Amino acid sequence: MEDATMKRTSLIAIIAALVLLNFGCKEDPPVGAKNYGTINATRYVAIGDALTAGFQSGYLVKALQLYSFPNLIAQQLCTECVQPLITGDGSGVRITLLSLNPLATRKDTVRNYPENLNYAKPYNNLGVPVCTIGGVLDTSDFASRSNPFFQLVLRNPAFGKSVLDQALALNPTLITFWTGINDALIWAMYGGVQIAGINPFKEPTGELMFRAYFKAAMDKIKAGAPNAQVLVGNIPTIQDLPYFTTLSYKHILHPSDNIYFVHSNGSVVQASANDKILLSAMDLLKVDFGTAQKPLPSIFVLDSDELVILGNAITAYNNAISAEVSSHGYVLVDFKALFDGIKNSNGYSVCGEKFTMSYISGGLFSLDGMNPSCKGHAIIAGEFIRMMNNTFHANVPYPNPAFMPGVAAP
Amino acid sequence: MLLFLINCVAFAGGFQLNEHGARATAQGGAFAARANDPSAIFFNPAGMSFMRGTHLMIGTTLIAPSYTFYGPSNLNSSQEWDMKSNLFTPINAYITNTWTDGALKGLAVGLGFTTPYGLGTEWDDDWVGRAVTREITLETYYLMPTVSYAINDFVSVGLGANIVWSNVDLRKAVTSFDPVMNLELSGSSKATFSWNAGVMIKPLDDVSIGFSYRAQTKIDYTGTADFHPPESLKNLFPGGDVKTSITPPATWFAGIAWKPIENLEVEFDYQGIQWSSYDKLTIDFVTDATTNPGVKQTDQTQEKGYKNTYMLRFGAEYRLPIMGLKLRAGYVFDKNPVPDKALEPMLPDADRHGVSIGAGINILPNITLDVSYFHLFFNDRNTSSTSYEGGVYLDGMYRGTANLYSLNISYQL
Repeated sequence: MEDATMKRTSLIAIIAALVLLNFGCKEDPPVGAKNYGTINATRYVAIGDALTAGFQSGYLVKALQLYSFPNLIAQQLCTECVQPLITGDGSGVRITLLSLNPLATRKDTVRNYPENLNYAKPYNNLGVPVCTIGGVLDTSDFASRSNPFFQLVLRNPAFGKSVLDQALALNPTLITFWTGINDALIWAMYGGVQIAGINPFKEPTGELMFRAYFKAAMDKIKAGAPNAQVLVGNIPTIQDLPYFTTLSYKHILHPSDNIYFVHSNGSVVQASANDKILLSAMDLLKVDFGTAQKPLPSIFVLDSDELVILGNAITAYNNAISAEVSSHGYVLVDFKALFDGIKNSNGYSVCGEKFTMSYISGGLFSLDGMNPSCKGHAIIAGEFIRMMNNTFHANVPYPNPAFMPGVAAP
Repeated sequence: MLLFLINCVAFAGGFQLNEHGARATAQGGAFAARANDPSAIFFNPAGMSFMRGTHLMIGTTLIAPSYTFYGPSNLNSSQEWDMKSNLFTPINAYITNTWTDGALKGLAVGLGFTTPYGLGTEWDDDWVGRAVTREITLETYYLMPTVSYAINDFVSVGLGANIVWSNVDLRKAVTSFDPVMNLELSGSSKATFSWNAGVMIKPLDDVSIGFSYRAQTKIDYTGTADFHPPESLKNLFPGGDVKTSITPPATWFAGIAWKPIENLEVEFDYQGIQWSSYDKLTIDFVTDATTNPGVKQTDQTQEKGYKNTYMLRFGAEYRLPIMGLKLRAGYVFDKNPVPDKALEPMLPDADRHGVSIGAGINILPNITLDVSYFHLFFNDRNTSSTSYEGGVYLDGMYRGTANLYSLNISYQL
């Protein structure tokens, strides 16, 4: 073959090869490689209440605590999150689903202890169920507090006398702080009725006291861990939780009749759409309470007057939280906006799954109707991570709610 | 009988299949202006009248696709998820007879069987999009009794009746409860009727022009759904009878072929596909929450909103003066019909470039063997638009490629 022909043939072959290689445009995946930006997750501590603890369906148990949002965050950040993992049947008042249609549940008191009770440091997850904003500051002897979860989580006064003391003893670099909901929720879940040993609240924690406690907690963190990155969650709209929305003001047994109940002002009245019949009333309604002869006791209803009090408390708390977070240079995670958004847009969807605020079928909440399910925890963890990404120039994936277990079928 | 023979996969944009003969496939499917083998019944029935005698042709295409999903970006992730590698083997078979003299001169009749629409994708049961899809198989079988008539030596027209059967099977996870349920839907159609037609014109000795059209076909399916629920959820998810319908689009070819030199034929075809027929996919549960309060299964509608689209096809065939050996090559550009917001893993479509080569040889005086290899390069496809009410909420990037191997044997009486 002549030299010139050979050259021409080679040239054509090279051009053809280049054309072929360029067929099928290659692009980069839409999300860049995972990176932690300036997040310092060396020592992560989660401070909070039942939400932080991974308390679901009325109790704490290892199988569900593994899906607590602090543990999910720690997994995404590849850091340690030691939790008080409760063995066996768990600890609390466990709610089990017996039947969906008709809806029936069972409650069992269970009392077990962490498998790692002798862990030699404070736990990274210091979420204490039923803890209020004042509770994280409380330095009294926790073994003698009425809430047994303090003893279960804090264990040894040598680690620190309060939740915050133990948190700071770990010299944390990253903190999630999400508490304060119980300052209004406990009052509301008992229909605004104070009951010795069960509901100590005559009314929600007052605005000034809440703000003072919140400021004290923030100040204490600022002083004890001045360089820590701190993310603070605010209070979702409590009356939108399934515990408050599942039962109608119409009677289960007589769907055309409005439920009779004892109003907070003492009179027996008929419920309207403006009153919330609490999920705790279900068993009584089934045995025909809620009639004029057997009105529902006040602890099973959050009436319209009480709803106003609740709404005002949440607004005041969130104002206080925003102000303190801002003045301490911390990062606000707006869970009120997140859950209001889910309610108003009729759901939150990802990977072909749709979640709503509905009890059980909505997928976001556990059987107690207040605490998130595993899927709910994934969404909460994702919201914390989204704010970390925004604030600390990081690129960390969110945990996938679609991969978390749903509510156990009966 | 057909069920175990045929599996189909979407190998043109949407859920079209255009591989219906190795000779055409080797030339990028640019065949409507010549249609000079029995696959004319699919590409352009008018071509039958310019053939001679009786022809039998049977063949298959082995389709080996591969897809990867990177995401979901709505969870700020680019994790890699590979589609399961499956091999699909749609069959084609044709018989034609053309009268070349006597009273019936110019008349041709034929019977063809092929699968112009199909879809098959399967992902791992635990993949990230399991609540969108685990597996779908859509199969269509077209039986096409066809006639054509050459008005003179230059113009021929053809018309085919299409008798269509189809079945669809779909599997996905329902994740509301633990354990996750596996929803299986399967449906099939009764015989449905459609038609196709074509015209071929040879204005010059070395030029041929073809036009063909296949009508859209609304296929109604009836079948059953089974959620495989745990005992305690059976009254919430009873499954039972389901109905759906799918309308494969109308499609048309316009082609021009030319013999620039002795023994060489080249052809260019434009194919239009009226994908706007696929606007939504509704699965209608006969027993649902509106008829039976307390039941959790509800009708499901996915907006598809496919756009009308096109394919460009270039092909060439060169006849070597030995043993009737023919060498072929082709190129296809396939513009996908799927809008970003409807992009989902049942059919992760993208614009494609296809390159084909092939050969035909007379292994015996009356028997021809045709083979082709066709490679499809998919453009990477990103979507960030699936998060809306009715969407799949699965954003990310799809990357795909496919190899197609075709083989046909023809017998000429």
